[in-house]
Amino acid sequence: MHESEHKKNNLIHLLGMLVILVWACVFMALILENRYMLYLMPAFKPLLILGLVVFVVSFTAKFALGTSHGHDASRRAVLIRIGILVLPILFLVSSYGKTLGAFAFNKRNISSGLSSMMGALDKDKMLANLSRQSGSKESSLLDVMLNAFQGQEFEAQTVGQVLFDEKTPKGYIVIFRFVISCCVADGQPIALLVQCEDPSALKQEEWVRVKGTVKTETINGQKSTIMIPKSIDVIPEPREIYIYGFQF
Amino acid sequence: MKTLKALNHGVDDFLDVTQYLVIGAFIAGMLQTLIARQAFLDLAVSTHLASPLMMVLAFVLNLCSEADAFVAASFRGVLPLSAQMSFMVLGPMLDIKLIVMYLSVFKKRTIVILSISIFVAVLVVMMGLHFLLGDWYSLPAGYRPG
Repeated sequence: MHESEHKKNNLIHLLGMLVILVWACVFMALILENRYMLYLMPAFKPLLILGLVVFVVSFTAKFALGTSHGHDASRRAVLIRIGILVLPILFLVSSYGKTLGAFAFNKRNISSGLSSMMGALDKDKMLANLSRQSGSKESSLLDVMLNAFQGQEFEAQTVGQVLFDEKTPKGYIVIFRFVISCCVADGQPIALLVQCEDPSALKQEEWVRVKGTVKTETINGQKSTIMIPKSIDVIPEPREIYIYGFQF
Repeated sequence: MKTLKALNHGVDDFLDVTQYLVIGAFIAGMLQTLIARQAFLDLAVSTHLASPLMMVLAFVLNLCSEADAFVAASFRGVLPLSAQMSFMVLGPMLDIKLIVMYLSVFKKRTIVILSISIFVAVLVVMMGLHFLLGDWYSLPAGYRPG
């Protein structure tokens, strides 16, 4: 009886250690090639490295001490705990590569959205950021939207994902991206209306590079930022899916 | 040896809490997926409802303190300032993840009393703020629900 109990405790202890090891491997996988940027801001990399170190040290401590130490929890409670801790790993494996897209846009978009947010930001800092961008050929969608708030027409080139549905004004498509200030949980969509009489050549959520004249117009009674495009080119998915933070 | 034991104890504590964090994050993720943010805006047609609804949104979204300011700012000019403040003040103190994690430490009665106390305290303070800052009965100019 005692021996079988001891074996069961050993097995559970090993399962627990395996979970810690798997979490350490997941942290390593996220850090390598910056895969974590699908979920977090770049600034979190040091924390992920720290997390990896903690998991490795924890695994070592568990391995060194064996089965005789631990909480007075029942075996069932420990197994449930291990099962729950495996869930995020299963989620990561099954959802890897998937990003916020049209569905998330519709859930998170609010009518006032960017205009309200821009009103709350420091305009001097915004303009300083724009002047840094003026030398580059391509602007992020956020910079295009910020520039548009100055109210003047300007030429721009930017990338984003395509969206067109029943809410999209006729003769336009929506080019959108998500802005992340911390992690994907807080991702907020920003969008630009681009004139396009025939969107049939484009697919939903396809990445495109658009180049043209940006201005503000009233569309269906609402002030909107629109682009009159010179070109709309389909491109492969960029390395940085999201726009990270309001880095002013 | 003591260091190893301390580390081991720390790991066990971490694993104890993380399971509740995972459950809370799962619930928060589900709610973010199922509920549209615009729905909260459309419900907040009255300034009486704006603060409580923003507090519910903060409870549901589970955002960190760094991110909630940007989300709150997106409601600027649409909802009263007190509603935005309600969102930012309640969020760090009370959300689904925290409630689920508290379940591992406190009794249910304590959690219920704590949650109600926080909710009521924030609501009362923000109502007071709204009375100081503006007309309680009028909506911000330019807002049209729906």
